[in-house]
Amino acid sequence: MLVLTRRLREGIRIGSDVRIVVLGVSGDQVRIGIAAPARKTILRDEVFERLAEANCEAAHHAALPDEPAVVRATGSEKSANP
Amino acid sequence: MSDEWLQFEHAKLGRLRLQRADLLEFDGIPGFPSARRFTLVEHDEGGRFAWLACCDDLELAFPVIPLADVCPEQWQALGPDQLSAVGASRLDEVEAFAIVNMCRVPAEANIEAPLLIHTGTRHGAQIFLPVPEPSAG
Repeated sequence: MLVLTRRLREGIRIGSDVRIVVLGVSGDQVRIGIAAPARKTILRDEVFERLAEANCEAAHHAALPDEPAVVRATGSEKSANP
Repeated sequence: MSDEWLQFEHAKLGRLRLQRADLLEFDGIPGFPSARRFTLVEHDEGGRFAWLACCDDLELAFPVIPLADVCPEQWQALGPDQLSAVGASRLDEVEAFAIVNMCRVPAEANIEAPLLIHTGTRHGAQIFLPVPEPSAG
């Protein structure tokens, strides 16, 4: 991993179209700003890891011999075919 | 070149034959960074389910269901910030699917991280669309 030291309001460029700036530091929290093209997906690590884990589980159990009668929407109580 | 036919022997779905123009291009999917070329395969004619089959990793396929079928509210919640992930600006330019996790009972559709596909450019992306907390009372 590349490690750089930056001060408040200093930034980093990744390629020609991504800029990361340190906006604030408070205790052990750092507030950063990211300017990137809309097509770049930007996620917190923990969200990315949650999506990756869910994708891996879905892919590794991928079998659809019969369409399930009920599909529950994760995070809500809605069903496709209640 | 775009009308060139491609053929893949997919471990889960058997022989896939499609035109190069029908390939879907993703910039990777969380957990599968090198999976970039996909195609949609109907599970049953007229059924709700399809497979997002990877053409780079021929053992990888995700069962998917149209997002609007499983959660119309999440479909309607797609706005400019989400659509821009595939270079779209209007809802009628995209198709959206939820990955179905079949190892859960009942099966679970991940409406928090739908797959968007620009129907014109065939560019795809998995986006993050937080599900609103149900309002109290």
